Parts: sequence; structure tokens; C-alpha cells
Amino acid sequence: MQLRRMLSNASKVFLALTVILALTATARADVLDDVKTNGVLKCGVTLSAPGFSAENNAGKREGFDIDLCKALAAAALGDETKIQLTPMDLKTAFAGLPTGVVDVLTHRFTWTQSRDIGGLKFPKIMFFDGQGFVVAQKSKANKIADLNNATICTLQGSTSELIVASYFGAHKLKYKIVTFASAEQAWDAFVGKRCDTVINDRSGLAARLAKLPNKDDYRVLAETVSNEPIGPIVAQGQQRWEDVVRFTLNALVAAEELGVTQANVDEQRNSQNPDVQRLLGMTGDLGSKMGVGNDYAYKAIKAVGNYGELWDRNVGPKTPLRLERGRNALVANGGLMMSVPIR
Amino acid sequence: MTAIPKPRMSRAIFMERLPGYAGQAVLLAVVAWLAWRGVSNFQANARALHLSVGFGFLHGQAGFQIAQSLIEFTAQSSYLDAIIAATLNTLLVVALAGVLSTLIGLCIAFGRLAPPGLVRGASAAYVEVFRNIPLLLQILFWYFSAIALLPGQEDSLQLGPILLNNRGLFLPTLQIDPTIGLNRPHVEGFDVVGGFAILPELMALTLGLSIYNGAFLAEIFRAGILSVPRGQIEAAASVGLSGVRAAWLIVLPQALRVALPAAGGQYQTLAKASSLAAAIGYPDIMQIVGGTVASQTSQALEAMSLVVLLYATINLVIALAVGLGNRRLLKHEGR
Repeated sequence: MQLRRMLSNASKVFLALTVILALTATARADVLDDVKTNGVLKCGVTLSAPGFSAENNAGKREGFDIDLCKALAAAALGDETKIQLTPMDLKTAFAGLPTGVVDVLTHRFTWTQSRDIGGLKFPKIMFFDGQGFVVAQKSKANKIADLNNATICTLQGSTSELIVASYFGAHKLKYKIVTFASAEQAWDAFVGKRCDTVINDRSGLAARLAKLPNKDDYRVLAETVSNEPIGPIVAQGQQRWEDVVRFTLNALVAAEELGVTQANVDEQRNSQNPDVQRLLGMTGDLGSKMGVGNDYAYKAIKAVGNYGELWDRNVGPKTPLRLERGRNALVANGGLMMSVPIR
Repeated sequence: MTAIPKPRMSRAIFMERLPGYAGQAVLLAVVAWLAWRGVSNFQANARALHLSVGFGFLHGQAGFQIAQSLIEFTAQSSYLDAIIAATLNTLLVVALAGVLSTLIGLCIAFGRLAPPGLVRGASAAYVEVFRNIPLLLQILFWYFSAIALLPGQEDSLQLGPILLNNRGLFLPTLQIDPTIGLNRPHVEGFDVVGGFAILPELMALTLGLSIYNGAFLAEIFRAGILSVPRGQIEAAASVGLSGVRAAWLIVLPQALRVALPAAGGQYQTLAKASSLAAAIGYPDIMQIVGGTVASQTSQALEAMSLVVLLYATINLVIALAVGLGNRRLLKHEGR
């Protein structure tokens, strides 16, 4: 009897032990090493945002954020197909990145101070966005001040919530807010007239409107109420991996600045331009110093093209989103987008 | 008065129990070691990642608003206030749905035991339909159909002083200032002014949870009722009790004895299922603490452990209440 009881106790202890060990496993030593050992890059992406991360008719996820994930896989592993995409909402993403569920978030999150010092590092801004309001075409509101006492739908935990609070507070406007776990549901509630307006990044609003059959029933108010610098996120304390992400993203922008495209990247390897030679790893050892191949930028550009090509393919004027480059144009063209010097 | 000497354990009994004591001591030591390892490991990892750990953030200013709050909550309130408001919202919907689903469960249980016919068939159909559709789907259905079916606020339904539209159910309230009278809700621009608002999110969530849990409770109550010996019901009839009085005085108290433990489990399920609120924008614990607070403060681990703690506490309280109720029932029978 005693023995049997002890054995059953022992099995309980064993079970508890496995669970606890799984919960408190030691932090990842080095994400770059992990990615290379696993031979696959795990990216956390947004659940559904047409143009950024959404399934196409064939059930394959594609978009701007997916291309960034592919570029990173090409740079780190030399193969853009070695990716594993995990659709995550805000909660799972912010808990999953530090614990190693994913290696990087190629998501739609805004770089804020509290997120940054809270352990989320944003190596490079890849999208300068701003928040706006959408209302029904026949709404009485023509500017944000007209939205006094309006009910606002938005995504819970998003920067939008705080922007509404501070903007409406500063302008002495009153409002009611209903927040949802996913952007779809917030949008559905707005279309169902639960709310008078939805606030989101202007790119997100464009993505939603692009999907609607009756998009002329809605309009976006002209004012932009915030700056939303958006880019991939890595966990704090992973300097090597952060560098690889930062300079792969820079390489995509540098390629556009230098006229290197997906189509001409092979012949550009013979370019006499020293900037192009350094970018593509023909001279120097910047890549191998970071712990990836010297041709990491070549691989990334070959996989997804330069920043401008990424834009045009996924969200540009010829896509349903019809987004102009605006502040995302290169600095040379009057925008804010630029690469740090690759030297 | 002489003290009664404590009976001493004989050496033989002690020797026999020794392996058991030793086993428990080892188990305790292992659990304590694992807990210590877990905590110190977590702290070391957090240090290595330069993460700030702790609950100091709770006193910071929240800066967001909550659609429904039983306490005073403004954008200047603290995160702690937000957590209290969210917890009260969860308790509110759990209490409402708990009462409503119990009433539904009782009606359907008796309905299923009615003589064969329309009532019995309808009750059986109710159970089979609502028990077998995922709860999230039902909640989304009630919410989005409520929004779709209810009129916009320009053409609200008016029922005396009560106002109904897709922004909620607006009830009049008594006001003392400036004159004593009814504070009638009325539409003003984008807003309904005055009165007390029941949001569509609360309505849909209460409805979804009640209908779903009512189906499970009905089966639990039916099992309890069937456990009452037939003779008891016949005896009640023979002393002249009416059907309803027999059900209330004779059947229910005995049925409860069987049904209560299982029903208690169902109420706990209800409390946990209320976290589906996040899907339809009802500001409960999961949404406010696990969503907004976690992301605004970037203290996801702390916020999530608070969520765990709050739900565990609510469920332990329910378990305690059911246990006490059960003990009282058994005591009544002199057991």
C-alpha cells in the first residue's frame, strides 16, 4: 500500500516537474544561433490586414510584412522559403517574442517609448504611418471636432486607445469607446453602426476599405492625429540578431536608393559603384562580421526586391490599397525613408 | 482538573508510517526546490534581458477610458482602478448570467420531464441545439445580430421613458437635483444623454452565457430531479400537495443534493467562459487587464499573472460557496 502510494506520488512529482521545467526554461542564449540551428525563421505576423499579412485565394499568406520576414530568412539562412508564420494578436505577440515563441515580429506595431524600454526593440522603421478616423459617408462629422460625444470603436491595447484619450482630452471633446480583441470585430461593429467612427492607422483603414464592396459609403477624415512609426520587433538583449534585422531592413532601402532591384541584382554584383559593391558584399566583410553570409543583402534583395518594389507589389497605387508613398518616399524624393550608410 | 494525557503513538505504528512521512517530506522538498528554481530562474532571465519586473506600474495613470465601469473611472485613474473596474465588470456579467442560466436550467429541466408533447420536445431541442454550438459563435451571433436588428439612435425605439437602440438599452433614473423626478434618456447629437445605459455588449454576453450554460444546467438539474425516488413524489401527491408545491418542497431540496456539486462546476465554467467578452468589446478582466493594461505598460507577464490570479480567485470563491452550500444540505439530513 505504502509503496503504491509513494509511486503515485512520484508520478505526480514527475508530471509537476516537467510542467515547471517547461515553464521556466532558461532564456534563449542567442536568437541568431537558434535560427541557424533550427534552419527556420519564426515570424509573428498580424492576423489579417490585406496588403500587409493576409491569406490570398490560394490560402497562402502574403503581403508587406510577409515579404519582410522572407527578406530576413534569406539574409540569415540564405533561403526565403525557410519561414514559419505565426498569426498573433497583440497579447500573444508581446508575450511570445521574449519567451521565444517567435524570433521576430514582422507586425503592425508602433514604436513607442514604453514598448521599447519594456523589452521590445524596433531595429528600423519600415512604415511611417499616422492615425485617422473613418466615418459613414452621410455622417454629420466633417472634421474630428465634429465627433464630440461620438462612440468610437477600436482595437484593445492599441496605441489608438491612448491617442483618442489624449487628443479628445486636449481638445475638450467627449467620447465613448468600445474596444475589441481584433481589428475585424471593431470594424464589423462600426459597419453595423455600433460606433460612429473607427480609429486606426491610415494604412489599416485603407486596407479595410479596400475589402468592402460598398467602400463609397465611407470616408476618411482628413486630419491625421498621430505619428505611427512601424517596423519589425526583436527581443531586448539580442544584439547580434538585432543587428542582422536592422541591416537587412536597411539593405532593402539602400537598394532602392542605389537603383538595385530584384531583376538587376545579379548584374549589379559587377557594378563599379563602391556603395553597391559594399551593399552586395562584393567588397568588405560587414555581413560576416554580423555572423551571416557576406552576401546577406544580395540574398534579401534577390528574394523580395528593394523597398520600393515591396511597396508597389503589396500596398502601392496598383494594389487594392492604392497607397501613395507619401512620407514613406525616399528622402531624395521628399519623404522620410532612408538607409543608414552601409560602410 | 487534570489534563488528559495525549495518547502517545506507539513505536510500531510510527515505524509503519515512517516511509509515508519520508515520502511527503521528499515531495515537499522537491516542490519547494522547483518553486525556488522557477522564481530565481525567472528573475535571472529578466535581469539578463534587462526587463523591469514588478507591480510598481499599477499606480501609474492609465490614460484610457472604459466603456462601462461600476466605479468612477476617468482617463486620470490608475491602472489599479482599471483592474478593479474590469474585475467588477466580470463579476457583474457572471452574477447576471449565473442567475439567468439557473432559471433557464430549472425551466428546461422540468420541461424535459413534462409528459411527452410540445413542451418536452422543445426543451430537448433547446438543450441539444445550444449545448452543441461553440459558445464564442453564439456570443458573436447574439452581439452582431443585436447590432444589426436594433435601430440606430436617430430612430430609437421608445417605450415610455425607456429607450432602445444599437447603442444600448437606456433606462430612466431617479434624479434629486435640480428637481425630484425622472431623468429621461434622450438622444442629443451623437449621444444618448441621461438615464442609465445597459450596453449591447453586456446584453449579448449575458444572453450568450445564460443560454449556453442554461442548457448544461438543465441536464444537471434533470439528473438531480430523476434521482428523487418516485415514491416521494407520489407521497407528496397523496398528502394533497399541488404539483408546484411538491416540486418546490419535496423534489427540489432532494434533487439539489445530487445536482449541486455538478452545478458548481458549471458555474465555474461560466466564470471562465465570461473571458470570451474580449471578442465583443465588453470590458472584462481579460480585455482590460490581459489586453489594454498588458500592452500599454509592456508588463505582459505581470498583467497575465494578475489575470490568472483574478480568475483563480473568482473560481475558488465559487467552489467555496458551493462546498458550504453542499455541507449545509447534507447537514439538514443529519449526515
